[in-house]
Amino acid sequence: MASSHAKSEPMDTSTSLETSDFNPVNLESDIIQLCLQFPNGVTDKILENSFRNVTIQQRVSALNRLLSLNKIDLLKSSTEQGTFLYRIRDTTNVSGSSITIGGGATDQMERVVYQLVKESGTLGIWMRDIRTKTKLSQTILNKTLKSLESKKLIKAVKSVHASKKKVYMLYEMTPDPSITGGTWYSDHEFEAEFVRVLNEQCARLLDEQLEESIRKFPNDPFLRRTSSFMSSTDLVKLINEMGIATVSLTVQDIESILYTLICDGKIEKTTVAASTTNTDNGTKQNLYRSVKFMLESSPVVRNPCGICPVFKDCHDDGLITPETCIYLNKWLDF
Amino acid sequence: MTTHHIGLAFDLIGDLFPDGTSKEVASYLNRKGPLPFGAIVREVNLSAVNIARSIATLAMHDLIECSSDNRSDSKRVLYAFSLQRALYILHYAKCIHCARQLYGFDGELIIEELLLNGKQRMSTLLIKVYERLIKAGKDPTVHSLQSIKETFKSLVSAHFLQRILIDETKPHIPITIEETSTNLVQIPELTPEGWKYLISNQQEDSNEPAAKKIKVPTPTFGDEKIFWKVNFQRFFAHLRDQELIHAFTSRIDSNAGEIVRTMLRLAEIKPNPERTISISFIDIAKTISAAGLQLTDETLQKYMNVITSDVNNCIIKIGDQGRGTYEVDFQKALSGLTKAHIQSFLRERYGSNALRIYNMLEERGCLSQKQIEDMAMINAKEAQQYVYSMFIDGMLTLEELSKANDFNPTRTFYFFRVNLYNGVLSLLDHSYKTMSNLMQRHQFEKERHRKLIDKRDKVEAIIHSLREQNADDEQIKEVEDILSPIEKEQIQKLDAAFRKIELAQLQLTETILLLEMFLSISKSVAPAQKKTGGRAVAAKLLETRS
Repeated sequence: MASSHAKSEPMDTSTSLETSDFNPVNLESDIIQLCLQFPNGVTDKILENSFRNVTIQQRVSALNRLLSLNKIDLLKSSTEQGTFLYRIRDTTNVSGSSITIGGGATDQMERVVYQLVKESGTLGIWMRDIRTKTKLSQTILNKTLKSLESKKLIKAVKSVHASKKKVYMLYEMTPDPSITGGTWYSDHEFEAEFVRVLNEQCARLLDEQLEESIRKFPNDPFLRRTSSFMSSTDLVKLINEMGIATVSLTVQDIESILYTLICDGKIEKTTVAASTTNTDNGTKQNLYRSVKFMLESSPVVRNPCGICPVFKDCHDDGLITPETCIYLNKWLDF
Repeated sequence: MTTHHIGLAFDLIGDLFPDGTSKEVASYLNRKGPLPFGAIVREVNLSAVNIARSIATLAMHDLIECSSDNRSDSKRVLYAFSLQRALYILHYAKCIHCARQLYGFDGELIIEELLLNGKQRMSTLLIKVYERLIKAGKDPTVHSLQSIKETFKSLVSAHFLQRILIDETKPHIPITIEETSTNLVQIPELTPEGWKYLISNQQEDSNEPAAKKIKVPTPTFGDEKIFWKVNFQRFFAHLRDQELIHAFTSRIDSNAGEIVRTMLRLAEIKPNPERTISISFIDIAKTISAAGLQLTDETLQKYMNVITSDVNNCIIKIGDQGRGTYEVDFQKALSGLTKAHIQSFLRERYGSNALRIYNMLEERGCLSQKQIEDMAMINAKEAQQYVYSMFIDGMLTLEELSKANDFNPTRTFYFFRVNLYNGVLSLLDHSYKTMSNLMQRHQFEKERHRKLIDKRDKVEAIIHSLREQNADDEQIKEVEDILSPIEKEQIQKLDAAFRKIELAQLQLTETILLLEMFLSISKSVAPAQKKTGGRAVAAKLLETRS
């Protein structure tokens, strides 16, 4: 079929030379129209059927010109093996034009990579994922990413959880809190000091509330208990008023701090249905209350053996024995 | 049955029976299991008489149990060493103290005598206690035989003493059977002659302290076959109750502690290790007002409200009969108390951050290393350190969940879990070793300063006798000056050190008791096995809710 076409080609072109002046342009616009009609892509077959009067050579040249002008995309069909799709390119993509300034074979790759980075939004995409999706080799991918970075189109953001892992996202995007760590991380480092200060402040506020409730109701244990509760929203307000943090903290942040206090055993938590006073409340509210320890200290740790760092090496006879133990000596003032 | 457990048991036996034979026999029996007498004599390097004597003493104390050899039809008696009973020696001091608090001086002496002698008849006991009281200089009219008998009766009715009979069916084996609960409180009636003998002895003692007594053959007292011994379980239950009351007092306030005390006392009638019987609100109110605590009904109701939501929810309201029926669940109470001990241990040993991780894991079930670092708001490196040191100590267990069929380390999840049972086991082992350490140090210091201590004792004895003879102050001062000031200082330091060690030991026994009770009550509940799947998760949720 092809050969017969090829043989007939010269005759075709000679006969349609006069018509071929405006045919290519028309053909191109027709093809574009057709592509616009099918935004998901136009197969070769549809093109063949729509432009029966056009030779395959003309069609192919028209398509090539459109591709080089970046008006359409050439894609491989996933439904039918071996066929190609032509898809209209979204010309509202301003940066598309800037890429074409570069030109060359890397254009296509850059475009593809850029598309992937854009799709990942604020979370960013890891280099390995780009590689699996585009099946480009390591070196070529590196070059592409470097050129995109130099054009200030994408940027690399270091994740706070895995310090070696870099994700790429568009230049203008602000990274998602899950990567930067949120309120507790500044410059990719965990602010232990800040968390500790907040911890102590919350504990102190709740302790004061407990003492006040004891003062107010010395005879009524039930009222004492209920009045020593404070809700998380109240705590957030107080902490923000105190101005310890440079940023204002949300209820979520304070609740995670309060959770650590629960784990310390200093406070307890209850959940109640919405109170009627607070209008912008959800259906649940968390209340917290400072509690006293059940046990001041266990007798196990009231002697030096409880906290001895070499407890496991201590035997009846040997280098470390109770008879010569320096910790026991100190404890007994010997 | 760890090394430290066994080591502590033998230290205690060595303390109680200072000559080495009992310790040797006991350790041999512990190693080899139940053995007949012949085998023991053959292997242990002591004379048969000594061995027989020590076995007899240990059997009186229930440290050695006798059983008949059922395999061969022979009439051999097997002797087995009871490790559990050996550890009860730790709690002797506390039991005596309890008796003193509840029943006064008489009660204290009764219990002390019984603990030192294992089992005794009531008649011998009464005589001995009476003699001791007189020697200690107590007023015989106040502490008469009658009053001692009354104390004895009250001890028995409160189940602090247990009644034992010799098993008549197997005359060659000295097996004792413990009485059923109906017979438990029957005090043997002493025969009239016996009573007259006792009373005459009493009168003789008070009138003629130095007179020679005519040798009268001791009459039969009528309770030849009835023996009494200390009921340890009852004492332990009492100590456990004390701990619970203490916990409530520190959590809420002293009134709550009193209320819990009355509740537990009301429940003493039918002791049951797991749960008490239901106690109604009206009973509590009545008893509280009788005890002198002024609480109105509403206040009491409010207190009950607050109490039921504390200490691991161990006091539960189960119904509304009698304006509210309440029960004390000892399993929950003990687990709450042991958790507090473990938490305090972790807090002191590793720091509050480690405690935070432990509590987090307990709430969330299982977490991987990475999740722990994220959730605990602690430096990742520190978090890792804490998790691994707790793991080494036995407080956490590791669970592996593999993605593939082979347990490739890069493709398996490693979850850490809190296992309370294991944690308690390791803490208990730690306490045993600490106890042995303290005892060893005490012994060592006593040996080291033996001369000084002997000197001091002699001086004190001389001073005491001088005082009785009403010597001058000058003479007493001369005797006191035998000890130079440096020596006096040393003695003072030594005394303070001994006091410290003994106090630490006493407090440690409280913890040991609590941990052991927890283990025995939760033996029926096996430690958490690997549970995956929806049904297991639902079962676990129900477990934590109930």
